Amino acid sequence: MDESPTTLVLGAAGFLGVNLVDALLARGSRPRCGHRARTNLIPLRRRGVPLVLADTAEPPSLAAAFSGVEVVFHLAGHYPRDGRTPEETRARAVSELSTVLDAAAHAGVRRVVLVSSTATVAPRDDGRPSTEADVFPEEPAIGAYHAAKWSMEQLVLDEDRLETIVVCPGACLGPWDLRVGTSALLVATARGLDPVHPDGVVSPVDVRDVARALTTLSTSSAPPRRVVVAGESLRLQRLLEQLSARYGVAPPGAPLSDVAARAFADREEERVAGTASRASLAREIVDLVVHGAVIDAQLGASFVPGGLTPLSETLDAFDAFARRMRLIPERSASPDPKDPKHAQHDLR
Amino acid sequence: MHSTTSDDSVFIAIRALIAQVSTVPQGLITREARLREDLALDSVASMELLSMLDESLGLELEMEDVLGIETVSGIVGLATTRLGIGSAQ
Repeated sequence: MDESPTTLVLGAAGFLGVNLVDALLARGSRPRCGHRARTNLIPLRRRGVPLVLADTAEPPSLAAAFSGVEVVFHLAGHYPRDGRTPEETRARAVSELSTVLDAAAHAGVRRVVLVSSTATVAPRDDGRPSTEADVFPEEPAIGAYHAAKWSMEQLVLDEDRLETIVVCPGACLGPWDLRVGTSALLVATARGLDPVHPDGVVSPVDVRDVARALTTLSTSSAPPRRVVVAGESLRLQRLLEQLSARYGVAPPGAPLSDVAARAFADREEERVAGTASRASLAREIVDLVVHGAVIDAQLGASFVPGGLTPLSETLDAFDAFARRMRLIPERSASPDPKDPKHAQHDLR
Repeated sequence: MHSTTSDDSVFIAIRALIAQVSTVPQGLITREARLREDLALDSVASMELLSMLDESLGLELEMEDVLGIETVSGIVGLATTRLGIGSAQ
C-alpha cells in the first residue's frame, strides 16, 4: 500500500518537473501534476499521471488543485526570460509565489517545497566553499534572475503557516531538457558551434539527483529549511574544454569578459524581443556563471539515495536523450566510454 | 498536391489550433507555412501546439515524433499518419 503523502507538482510539465514525476512514480507515489493552460503535456500524458490546471496567476485554479494535497512541490516560479526589467520581474515572481502560499495555507497543505537556485548562494570572502548558510544578506544587485530568486526565498523562509523547504539546485543537466535551457551550451558545443560564453564557476548537477532529493525531502521528518543540491564546482571554460574533447570538436574560444558577456546578452535580449527567436546567450546564464559560488553541497547530497551521479554519467544520459530527440545530430561524435577523458568521474 | 477529404479536415482542424497560438491572420496559415519563420511560433509555442493537437485528436504522440517538425504540412502528415488516414500523392 502506498503510504506516500498526496503530492502535487506545480510545473510538472517542465524539465525538472518530468524528472520529479518519474522519481515519485519510481517511489510508488502517483503525483497530481499541475500545469498552466498552455504548455506541452505530451510527456506527462504518456506517463498516465493525473493532470490538473494550476496557474500561479489564477487562485481559483490553485484552490482546486491543492484540495486534499499534503505536499506541494513548487517548480513553477516565475522565470525571467527578459532580464531588462528586474523590478517588474521581482514583483511578478513574489506576487505569484504569495498566491501559491496563500492557496496552500487555505487548502490545508502541510508542506511546500520551493525549488530555487544556487543564484542565492553567496560566494564567501574567505575563499572556502559556500554552503546553505551562505545567503546574500540583501537582494543582490546582479540582475533580474538573482533579484527574483532571492526575494522568493525570503518570502518562503518567512512563511509561518506552512512547513517550507527551499531547495537550491545547481545547473541541472539530464533528460527532458526539451527547451534546452541550461544545456544550451552543451548542445552548441556538441554541434561544434563554439558558443559565445562567459567564464566563472558552475556547479552542474544531474536533474534526476535533484528529483530524488526532492522526493526524500518531501517525507523527511525534520528537514532543513534550505538545501543546496549541486555537483562539484568547476570553471565553465574547463567544462567546455572537456566537452569539446568529448565530442571531438575544436576547443572553445576564449570566454568573454564579464562586462562584455553582460553587454552581449543584453543586446541579444533586445534583438529577440517580440520575435520567435531566443537569445543565443541569456542574461541569467551570464549572471549565474560570472557570480557563481564554489559550493560544498554535502548536506544536499545526503538526501540523494545512493549519492550524486558522476558528471560523466549525467553527460551520457543527456547525450542519449539529446540524440533521441535529435537535439544533437548523429554526425556529432558519440562519446567513447573507454576514453579516459570521458570515463573519469570529475571532469575538472 | 492532392489531398483527401479526411486529409483536408485534419488540415482545417490543425489550422484552427494554430490560430489559437499564433498571431498571424488565419489566411496565412497554409500547408506550406513554416512554424517559426511564417507563423512566429518559437520552440515552446510549437510544443504547446503539438500538445494541443495530441489531446484534441487523440494522437498518443511521443516527443520523438514531434521534435523537428518545421511546417504545417509536417504536422498534417504526422496527424494523418497517426490517424491512419492516407494522403493521396
